[in-house]
Amino acid sequence: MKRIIALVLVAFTLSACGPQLEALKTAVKFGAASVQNPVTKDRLREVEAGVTILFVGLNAWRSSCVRGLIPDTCEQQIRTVQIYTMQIPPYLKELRRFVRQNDQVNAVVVFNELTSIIALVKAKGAESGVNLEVAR
Amino acid sequence: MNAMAILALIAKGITIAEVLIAAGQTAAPALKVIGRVIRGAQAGAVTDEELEAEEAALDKLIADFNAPI
Repeated sequence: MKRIIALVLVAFTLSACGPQLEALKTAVKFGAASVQNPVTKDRLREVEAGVTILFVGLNAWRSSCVRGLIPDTCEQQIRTVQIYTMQIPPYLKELRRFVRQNDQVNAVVVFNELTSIIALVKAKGAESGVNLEVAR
Repeated sequence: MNAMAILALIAKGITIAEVLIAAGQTAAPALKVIGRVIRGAQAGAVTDEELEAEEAALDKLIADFNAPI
């Protein structure tokens, strides 16, 4: 049990920068959208698959926190990340609508906003020792 | 979705599973989600119905994380 807790601590605390933390990299890179590089249904699906895996990682972090496997500071760290993750649903909803309507002008704008927020989520996670690397 | 993107998804899934197992957590639910995403990506053509099913699952994952802690 001590070994498990130690592994979690290594993986999630700020001081951790060893191989366990490296292993937590969640590779999801989306690139920028433009008129020349439109947001197709397939691309939307690719982004949503990446975001799904990102949130699987975030929920694992949250679960470790709720179960008391990592230091109590995790609660505040998660609240900080939530400031950004809470912005994702409305953007995602709009992006889905624009892609279905093939409104590329708005889809590209929302897509780039969304990927910026995801990059912020990654950065805030990294500040808390959770490396949610956004790279394909 | 192209083959490289699917391979990247598989790699990400394996990484997440390794971390969950190393942390003593149950990896099964996460693997189930990742498996569904990969199968969906392999299926090729994307219909609105397929997207909606995946989107509902993603929305739940986001809501789970965003719930007050």
